[in-house]
Amino acid sequence: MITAHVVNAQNKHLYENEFDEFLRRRHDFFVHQKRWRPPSPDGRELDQFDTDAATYLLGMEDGRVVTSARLIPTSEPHMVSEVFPHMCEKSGVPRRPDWAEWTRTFVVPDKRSTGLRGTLTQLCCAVMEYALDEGLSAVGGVQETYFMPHHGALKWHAEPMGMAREENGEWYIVAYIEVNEAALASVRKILGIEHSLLVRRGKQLPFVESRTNKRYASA
Amino acid sequence: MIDSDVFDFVERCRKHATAGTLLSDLLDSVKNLGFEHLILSGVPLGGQKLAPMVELNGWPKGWFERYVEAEHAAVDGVCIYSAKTLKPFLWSEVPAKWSGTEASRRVADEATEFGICSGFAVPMLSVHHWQSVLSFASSQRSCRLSPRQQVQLVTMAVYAGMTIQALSDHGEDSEGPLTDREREVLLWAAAGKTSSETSQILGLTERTVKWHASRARAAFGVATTTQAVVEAVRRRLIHP
Repeated sequence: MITAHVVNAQNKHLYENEFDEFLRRRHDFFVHQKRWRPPSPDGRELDQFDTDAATYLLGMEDGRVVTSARLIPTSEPHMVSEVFPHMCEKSGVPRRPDWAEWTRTFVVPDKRSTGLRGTLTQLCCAVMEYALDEGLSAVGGVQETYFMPHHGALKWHAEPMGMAREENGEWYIVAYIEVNEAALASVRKILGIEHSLLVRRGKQLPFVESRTNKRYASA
Repeated sequence: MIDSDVFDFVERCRKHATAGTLLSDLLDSVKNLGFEHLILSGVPLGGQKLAPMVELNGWPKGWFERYVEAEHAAVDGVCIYSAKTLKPFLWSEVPAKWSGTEASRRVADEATEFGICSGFAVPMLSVHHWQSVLSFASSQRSCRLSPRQQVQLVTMAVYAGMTIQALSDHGEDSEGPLTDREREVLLWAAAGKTSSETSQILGLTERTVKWHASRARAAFGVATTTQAVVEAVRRRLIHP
């Protein structure tokens, strides 16, 4: 089972090695396997959305980064607003601080399994837990249509912003998953856990700026 | 068909509580795009039986029975190609290597007797099988889909696929089809060990090793331990 470390601009200095490992795994996956991005000479993959607005969940197991997620408030420039706005013909590009764009998820090859209790589901559970903790309403963004049934298997609801479509030979859809207690309960039930997967070290940053957030009310 | 019909279908997906109502809604919706029949199923591999993998059966009466009885899945080019690609495709786009065989042509010929002449297939992730495919069938000689219609069809297929996953029960036994012992026994079989050698390695009786192997074969519905090893590797349950 993974633990998911919450890494943001305030506590990144505590995760220098892990973050570097994360960027190398990203390079393995998004450059060499998916071929979505050109190779980088230093073997690390970074894009224009790796800014201080991003929060990362680094899924650690046995001292390794085995999976990840990057969350960006949709009120900031994000992949859908900058690259795929044309895929939101139904509802328009969401621009809400409590809607997070979820990108840069990979699972290292030896942790990929088709079973439903694997690393991917554990990461999904951590994302949902974090989103609930931070008072978010939805997480999502541009996704490969092929993997959408995984959300169904977790009994998650995902609202499409537009039609699925083919871009550079692959099919994608922009959709946002509803964040609520039921969504966390169902994924925890599948994993057979009741405990938190999140680890928060150092100074924490609230994801949503305007604070009615109970987590930070007393801070 | 207009886009809002597609989004209406997506909205209704939330409310479908059974596969039956989802199937009739989907059949009704894709009729507007020229498709009369459909099937959503796990893609059978290496001699797996099709019937237990079917999740939505909207094939014409008689055709499904014929297809299963004759074990068409093993030779049908559309079915074979469904295991090999992640991308939606027209049946007519299946490479000749699989669609051009005599057996595959015979399946296609037989299908026309049931009003199935052309189609469009959408492969998707499955948590139980290698992958799933939602295949739409038309009685038109060749189905013509505008780019917009393709987009509409894929969007509905994806939401149908999500819904059917949400409806299936991944209860307590969702860990996987194999126990740790069964996986261990298959791993040693993959390394070329006999039951007797495996029994010594694991400190079990040979009879127990054979029993675990037979349980693994049963879990996949295959006849030999070699097939079970192949299946376990394909599903990434063991990493020899």
